[in-house]
Amino acid sequence: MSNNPYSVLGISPGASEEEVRTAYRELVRKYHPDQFQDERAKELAEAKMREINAAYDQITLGNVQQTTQQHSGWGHGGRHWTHHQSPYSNPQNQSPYYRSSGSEESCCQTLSCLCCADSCCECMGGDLCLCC
Amino acid sequence: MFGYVRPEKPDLLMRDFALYKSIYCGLCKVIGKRIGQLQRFTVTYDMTFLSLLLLAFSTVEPVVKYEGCVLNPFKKKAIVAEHPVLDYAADLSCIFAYESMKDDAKDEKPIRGRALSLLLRRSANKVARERPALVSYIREKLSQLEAIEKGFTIHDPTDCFGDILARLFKDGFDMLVASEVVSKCDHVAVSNDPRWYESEQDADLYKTLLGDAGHALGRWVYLIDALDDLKRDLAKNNWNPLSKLENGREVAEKRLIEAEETVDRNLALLTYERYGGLVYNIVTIGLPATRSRVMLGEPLPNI
Repeated sequence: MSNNPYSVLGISPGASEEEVRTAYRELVRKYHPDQFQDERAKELAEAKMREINAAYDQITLGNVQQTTQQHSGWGHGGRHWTHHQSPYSNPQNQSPYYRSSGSEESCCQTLSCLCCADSCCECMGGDLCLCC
Repeated sequence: MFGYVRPEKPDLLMRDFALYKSIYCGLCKVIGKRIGQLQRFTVTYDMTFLSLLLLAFSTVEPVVKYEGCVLNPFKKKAIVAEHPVLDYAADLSCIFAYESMKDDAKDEKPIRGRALSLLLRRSANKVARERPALVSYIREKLSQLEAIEKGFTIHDPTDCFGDILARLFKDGFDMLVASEVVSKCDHVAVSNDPRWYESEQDADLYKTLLGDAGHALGRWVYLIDALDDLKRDLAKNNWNPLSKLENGREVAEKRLIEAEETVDRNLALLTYERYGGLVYNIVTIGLPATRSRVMLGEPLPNI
């Protein structure tokens, strides 16, 4: 079972209080033991609930170590159907390709490089487009 | 009625997408070998899901090999090699395709339905001889469904289809357990989570949860198909379980969401040996995405 409380709740470490609460409520509703008819399934759901409660307490009480790794319970060898949120499901928050500041910066750098390369080519009597 | 249980491709990791394709292609190849090359069109996303769900609990790592395909013979693709789970799914693909074509022959598409049911009849009979109990159960439930549609009984048709899928999931799991001789010494317990091979009670628990998930998924498939056909059925004055309801679309959406939650709830308690991410994607992202597309009348994208 995952020890990372964020991955237990299926949220990213930067999630807001509201997101944490919503994820917690959703999971409590989903895994409530009363939702299961089989006694053993109920027991399993109770264990899951304990894990969810512990994760919620850990996050809300602020005891989470920031060094905890982003864990995927669904990976290649992932064994658990935990409620891990795929990192691609909310790309605006998590994927580096969607961070506007980063992409603008790298775009500026690329254009500057191209401009320099073009100037050099022209100084040497050539043309960058023809060279390419 | 098939092809709704599918992954949501943009949310899949490339790794999981490759695994999905390998199971899909593996199933297609097994249908070719076991049923017939012409019958390979019966491969569906739904049966791929059943295959990968059962393979996810196998204690033996599925063998992957590289082979060409009829559609692209020069490009070798990774495919899951023959496995009893794929045989099971291939037989079911044939039976469901045959029953579906027979149904089409009766009303919607008589010529196409008759031609394809003729093509599949021999293989379907062969499967019926090999798996008599399962096939007669499916046929019994489908005839119950037909009786409901004709107004002879007032049972809930979604439950009928749910029963079929529950049986498929449970029988498939039994078949997997029977095909694998597991020694407890081979496995080191890494957590307190129940694994089906640890005890008979654990195997029973898996079967119960899979059965419940299968039942909910069956209800979901029946409803989504009814919702998808609603407009056309209303125009043609065909029977549709939602046509008599005042707010059929809203009722269907509510029940679809309930079914999705039940599938998720039951499958989430199981411990997966592999393919966890893939099953997660299909159940928690794929099913709702398909529901939204059908509600909006959008076409379902190819995987």
